[in-house]
Amino acid sequence: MIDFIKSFIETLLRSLPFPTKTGLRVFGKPNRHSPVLVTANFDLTVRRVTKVLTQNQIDCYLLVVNTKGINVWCAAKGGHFTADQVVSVIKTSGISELVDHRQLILPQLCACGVNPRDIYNKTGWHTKFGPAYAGYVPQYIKSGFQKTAKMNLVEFPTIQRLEMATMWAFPMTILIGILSAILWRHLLPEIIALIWITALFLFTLYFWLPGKPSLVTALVIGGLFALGIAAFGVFASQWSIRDIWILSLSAVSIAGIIGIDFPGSSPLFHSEWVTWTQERGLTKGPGRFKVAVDPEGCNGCSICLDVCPRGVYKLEVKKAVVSDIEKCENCTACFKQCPQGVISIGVPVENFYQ
Amino acid sequence: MSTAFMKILESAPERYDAGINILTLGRLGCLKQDIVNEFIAKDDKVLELGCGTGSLAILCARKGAEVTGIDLSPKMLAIAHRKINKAGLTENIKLLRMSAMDIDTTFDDNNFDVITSTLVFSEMSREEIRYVLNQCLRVLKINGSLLIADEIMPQSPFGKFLLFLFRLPFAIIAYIFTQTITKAVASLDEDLRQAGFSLIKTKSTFWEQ
Repeated sequence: MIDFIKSFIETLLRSLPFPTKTGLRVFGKPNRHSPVLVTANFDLTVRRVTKVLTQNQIDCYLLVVNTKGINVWCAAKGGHFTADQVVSVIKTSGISELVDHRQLILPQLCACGVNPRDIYNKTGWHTKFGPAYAGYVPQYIKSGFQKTAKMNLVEFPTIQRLEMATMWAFPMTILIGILSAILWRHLLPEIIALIWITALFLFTLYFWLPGKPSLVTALVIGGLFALGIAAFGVFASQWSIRDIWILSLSAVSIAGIIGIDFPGSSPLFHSEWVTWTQERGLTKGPGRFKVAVDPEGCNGCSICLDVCPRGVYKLEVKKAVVSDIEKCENCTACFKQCPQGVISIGVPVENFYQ
Repeated sequence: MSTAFMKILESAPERYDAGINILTLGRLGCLKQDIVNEFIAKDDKVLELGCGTGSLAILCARKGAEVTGIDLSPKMLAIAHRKINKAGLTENIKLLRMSAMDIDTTFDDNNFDVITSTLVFSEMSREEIRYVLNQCLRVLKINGSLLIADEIMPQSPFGKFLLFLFRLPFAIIAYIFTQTITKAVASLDEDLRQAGFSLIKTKSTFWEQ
């Protein structure tokens, strides 16, 4: 029950960190050859990983790294999940005395932040990038650490979209709720309903709507909602003309904010506003970039395939090629992890091996 | 909304000094000068953990100390480099981008007269604190000093409650400015003793104002 309440709150407030205890956790009866897994100290993640490991009766060690309570992907992209944090937990946990091997299994989504070479140089531990989702860990381990192509992929199924919609809508409800309570108290329930309906609708159905998801798409949807509200207001309710205007404009504004902000739900794409400013040199950053592989230098090691959460790469004639550029989320994991340094993103960013 | 968060995140190192001054109501600045006045002497070899933007390092160097500052954040260090260049103190202050957890492989035994750290231990887990304290003892000269300025958990339940209440709005503001969540350090006395330090002096800057 407590677990359910915690998960509920942590979903509503998912945009905030929830730090949990760092350090070594033991599952089942691990021996000196048991796998050593790593994750970030975001409470929701650790509890999910714990559940998966316990339910599948996996004997292993789990090192919970101090990412200040931020989840794996956001922490890695934001500089809070790096080799330093992993080195720290290796040193303080005493894991080197508990197992004979020196193989860490990192969560795949930290590939855009963790430099494996630093970890090896400082501690002698090797690293592998495991699956993206905790749910795949048992299969990954039982198959002898073989990753299927599916285990890489972050696909944003509906349930996750609903989570992200909630993550956006809840704090927004509080913010806009306070504003509306001051300005238009009598419309407070309608405005809050509008926030949730628009968020749930746009987050889950954005990619099924015609055209690419963008601010324009969102505004069109907002406009349609506004028309619907106006129609309802005129024919079926007690709202005054002023109220209808307020609600219609709110619908468009809320949809607009989501349209700008939506990409910001993942740590990778910036909001469209930030991308816009970057592309015009108003703020620092590469904007949206396109990855490319130099075929001459590529030796087919496939690390880029291994760390890409979107399946952008495939192997062709023993070399990596960009197979689906549209899927690229600009996470820079491929770029940072390529040992040959043959992936370019058109802007200077640090490659871990150069 | 995440746009706003992200923008603030990106500018966090630049806003850090301002943000922390707000959080500590300006006292951290005064505290740093007090530390230098009372504990730093000319020609002292000083190690600063989490030197950040270099404020304390500069104050120490001005008094004639030879300072090594370490920090995890390249952005903070970039600001520190700028400030140090501007102050003309590049001969006296060396900056290293590293974690306090890597002191074990970076510095020799009996190396420093003084180790200082302001608002760094509250970012560490208990295990990290213990590890770092052991290393501090190793690299300090005999009779060297370790100075820690940080948020400490009060002993009494009432004190703890008061800290929680008082802290909450500031913690929110500090998060907005600096993107860090810190927690008050518990059991620091005990961890220091276990590491082999004797407590010479403690000063509380909340109750004693």
